[in-house]
Amino acid sequence: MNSHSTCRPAAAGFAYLLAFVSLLAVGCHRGPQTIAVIPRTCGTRLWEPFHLGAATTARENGLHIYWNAPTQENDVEKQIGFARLTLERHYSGIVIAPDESLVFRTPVQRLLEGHIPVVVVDDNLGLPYDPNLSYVLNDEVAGGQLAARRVTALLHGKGSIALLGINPKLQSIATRERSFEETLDREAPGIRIAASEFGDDLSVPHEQQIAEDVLQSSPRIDAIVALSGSATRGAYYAKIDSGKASQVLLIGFDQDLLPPIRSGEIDSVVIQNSPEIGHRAIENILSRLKHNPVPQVVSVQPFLLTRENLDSPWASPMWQNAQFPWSEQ
Amino acid sequence: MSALRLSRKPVVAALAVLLAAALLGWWGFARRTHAQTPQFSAISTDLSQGWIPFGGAWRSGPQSIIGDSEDRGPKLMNGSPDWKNYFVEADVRLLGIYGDAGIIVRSTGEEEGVDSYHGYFAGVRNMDNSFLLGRADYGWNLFIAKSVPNFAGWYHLKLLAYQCSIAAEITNAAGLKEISYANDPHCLTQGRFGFKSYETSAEWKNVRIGPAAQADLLRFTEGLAPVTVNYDSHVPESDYSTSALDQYIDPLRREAEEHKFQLRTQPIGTLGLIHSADSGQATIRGIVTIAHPVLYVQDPTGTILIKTDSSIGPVRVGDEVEAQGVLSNDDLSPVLDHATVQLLWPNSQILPIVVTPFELASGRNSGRFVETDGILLSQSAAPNRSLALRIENDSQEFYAIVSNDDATTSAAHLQPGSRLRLRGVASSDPAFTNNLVPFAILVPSPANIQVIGPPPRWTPMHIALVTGILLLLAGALHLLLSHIQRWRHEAILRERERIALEIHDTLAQSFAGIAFQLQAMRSDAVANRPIREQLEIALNMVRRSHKEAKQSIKSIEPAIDNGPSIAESLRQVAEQLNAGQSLAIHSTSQGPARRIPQAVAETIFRIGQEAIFNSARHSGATTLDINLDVQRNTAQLVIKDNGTGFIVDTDHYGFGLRGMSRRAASVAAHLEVSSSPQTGTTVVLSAPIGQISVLSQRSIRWFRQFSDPEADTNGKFNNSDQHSHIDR
Repeated sequence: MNSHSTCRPAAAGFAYLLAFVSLLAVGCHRGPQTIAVIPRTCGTRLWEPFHLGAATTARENGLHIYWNAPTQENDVEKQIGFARLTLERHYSGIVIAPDESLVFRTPVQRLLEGHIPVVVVDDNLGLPYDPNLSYVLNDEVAGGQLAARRVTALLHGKGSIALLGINPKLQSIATRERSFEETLDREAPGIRIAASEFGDDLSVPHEQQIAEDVLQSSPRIDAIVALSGSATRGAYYAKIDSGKASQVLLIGFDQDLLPPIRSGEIDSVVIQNSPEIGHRAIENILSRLKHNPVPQVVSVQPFLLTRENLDSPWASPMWQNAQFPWSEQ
Repeated sequence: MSALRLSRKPVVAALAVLLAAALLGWWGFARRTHAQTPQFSAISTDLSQGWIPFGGAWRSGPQSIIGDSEDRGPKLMNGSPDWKNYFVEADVRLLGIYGDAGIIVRSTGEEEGVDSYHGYFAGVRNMDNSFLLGRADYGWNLFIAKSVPNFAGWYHLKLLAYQCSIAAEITNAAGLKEISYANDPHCLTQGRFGFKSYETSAEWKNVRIGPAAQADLLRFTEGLAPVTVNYDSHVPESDYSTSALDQYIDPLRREAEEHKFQLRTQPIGTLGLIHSADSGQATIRGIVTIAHPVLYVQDPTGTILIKTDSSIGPVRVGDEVEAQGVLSNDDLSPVLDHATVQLLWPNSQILPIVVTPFELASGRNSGRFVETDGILLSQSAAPNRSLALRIENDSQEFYAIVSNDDATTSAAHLQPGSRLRLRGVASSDPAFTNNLVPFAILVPSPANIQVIGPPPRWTPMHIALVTGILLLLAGALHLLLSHIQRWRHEAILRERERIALEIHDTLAQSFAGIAFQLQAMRSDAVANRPIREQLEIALNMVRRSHKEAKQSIKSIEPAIDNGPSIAESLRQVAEQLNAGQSLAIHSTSQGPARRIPQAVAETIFRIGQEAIFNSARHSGATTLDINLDVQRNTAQLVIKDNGTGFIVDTDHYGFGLRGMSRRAASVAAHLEVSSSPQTGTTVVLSAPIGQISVLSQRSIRWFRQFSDPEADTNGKFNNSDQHSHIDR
């Protein structure tokens, strides 16, 4: 009897403890993991297809994404703030397209110190190897080659061009420029680069002003190659303002200003395969969450968008805003 | 039972707390239930009336709200997140030429960002002349886009949400109307309302809100069939077909034309060199460094003050502008008078030059966009809803005039003593300096003020507070130690009393019994002389032992602890010593019968006892006066006789005097002995009582010994009269 009477409260206590631990376990049960996806800005033709690629892949794999970005493309401070949310809100990983290469080294290092998988898109930060760090990059070498070959074909290997939008703060654009010049040197030595202009703040007015100056000071330019979306827009506006809409060819980069391709005022734009970049970035995060190794750099092939292929089924998803149940992302 | 009664109290208290919490919860829920629908009302455009900004730069205009930003997706929200079926209507105007703006309803989860909210939006997009209706969930789903080519200027927009039906109506100034109507099967059911813009400044006025019912929806949609929203992931067909191309190209061309640059602009830096005689028309291009209360524009070569004859429209910091006007010069920088200003592009980056207040005081950087820092001294209201901060650094004092037009942030929370880093335009204009300080910084918005150091923690107030607390703690500790010491002393005394009683009840009683028996035996042994003598010896020994035992009891009994009892005890001592002699004894006591610390009382008694003994045995005195005066902080014992006196030799004083001195020193008392043949001997003992505890008395003694070893006795001997018959 005695042993029974002492066992009974002990058993009851154990049962209560078990119930408490079970409740605690239920309470602490974590829902689907969330990945922060932080582009340079949102609501643009470059980044919304990327959004769709990331959200689709995350949804297929039972992940949530937190999608947000600064309201201005060059707001580095705000973008660092969004990246910091990953630590504050205990997200499981982050995909980020940094505004600038060097400025983002420290924030990304902090994330890696927290053992958070990081995928950097559209830029190479040059950080040392870390198993949690990988890159999914637009193949800028291929992009530079596409633009150079288009210029060569349009000018039949002879002429004078201006190169706008050079941005030393972004490794991706520097690579783009280098590849373009090397290809041109190799394949079309008859084409001369009459002006190479920096446009390092991603602002359209700056690019427009530079393009206007170039068009005024170098009246014999046959083509402008604009290395970024804002440089493309600035050059387009300068062409309209200078009344040289038809005389000077314009080849741009990144999907932003596309209607003038249809009208012929812009010859072509080298566009990124944004949905694929988003898809591959989330795949990399997934692999790291499963403790699988990931390739350090994944290169995604760009495309040359022209009047002929603007509406083709393979091109539309790279620049069109898509419908998606975003509330479930 | 009492234990049970006690344990019920916390249970009852806990139940009361739970009940109160439940009542509060019910009250809150009831309030929520009642607040599901907004009342029909006009909404104030005063930004302090519940508006919450998420990005951008918002300000109140006359009867309107202006979103002064060309960012992507700034929002301004208001209302309750519990509102369900309601409508919002407003007059809306896009101030830029390439963006969209409109109204949000049923919104929750807002953050700063582009589509970072869960809610419905309707608005006009002038980059392709479209009327939009859709939903944002940190991503944008367009429900309906309709072409509206003639919607420039003000238009009236109404957005209604009833159950899962969302309808929007737009009417232009000419009365042209367009309606969009959608049914969202996975609808958002509730949320607040607000405004949003995208890449354009915009203005809202005549904002009204009210409840919506099914009848309102039917009247509103005018028999139109709703578009059922399909969320299946898909990419719509290209909208850049040749037929619709003008819809996109025309706004682009307009924008390019709008921002056409003047090619003959002049670098601002060269304008400062122009003499007044050369003044004429000038055109400049640069970035706005401050828009209110004055307009400054800066280019890489310099900065210029722009003065316009009329309102210049929505120009804000960071805008690239072109200005044309008549050039003049004030004392320090060029001025463009009667200027017309054209906005070219927003959001250009301005990098400030970092300068110290000392450098700014020279006036050379007047008009420049600068960054400097200083300590905030005070703040006060300034004209035009601005805030004037008085700041000091580098021995220079200056003002920072902060515009409070922007609702996004506020400078009111800044604490005096904080170190601030400010960005703004330096100005030496007396309108801002009041000729009291060398310059003022015109800060575009509170966001340009950064607190880089909080106010110092150790202000004089804080130091006084901490000192006070420490003193209180020290006092409390002191009191506690005194009590501990007293409790210990009382415990010792109780023990001594117990031992005395024990001796009295055992030894003393036994001695008395033995003596009684021996006396009886001595009476019986009258004939036997040797035995009688031995019994007499034994009897004497017992009597002596009995006496010693009684003396022991007397010596350890703690009978004295106040003035009257000490005086009385000393009188008894004197009476016993005087037995059979003619010494006249006078004993008096002054002061209240308050308790004297036991150690001090015992010291007074022992020293008095010694003095009385010396007087009674050696002085040949005929009078002995014993007086004890107990005041608030001291007790003074005076024993005076009219005897022969003695010679006081401070170097070779006797055992009795030395003992008295040591006893006095042990309680930090002061002993003074004076003696002369004419006046006899007077012993005066002054002992501290009251707040000074035994512990502190010992501390004083230790300190005195440490600083002056000779002061060990703590006594003072007046040896001006040379007599000595004290026990040595």
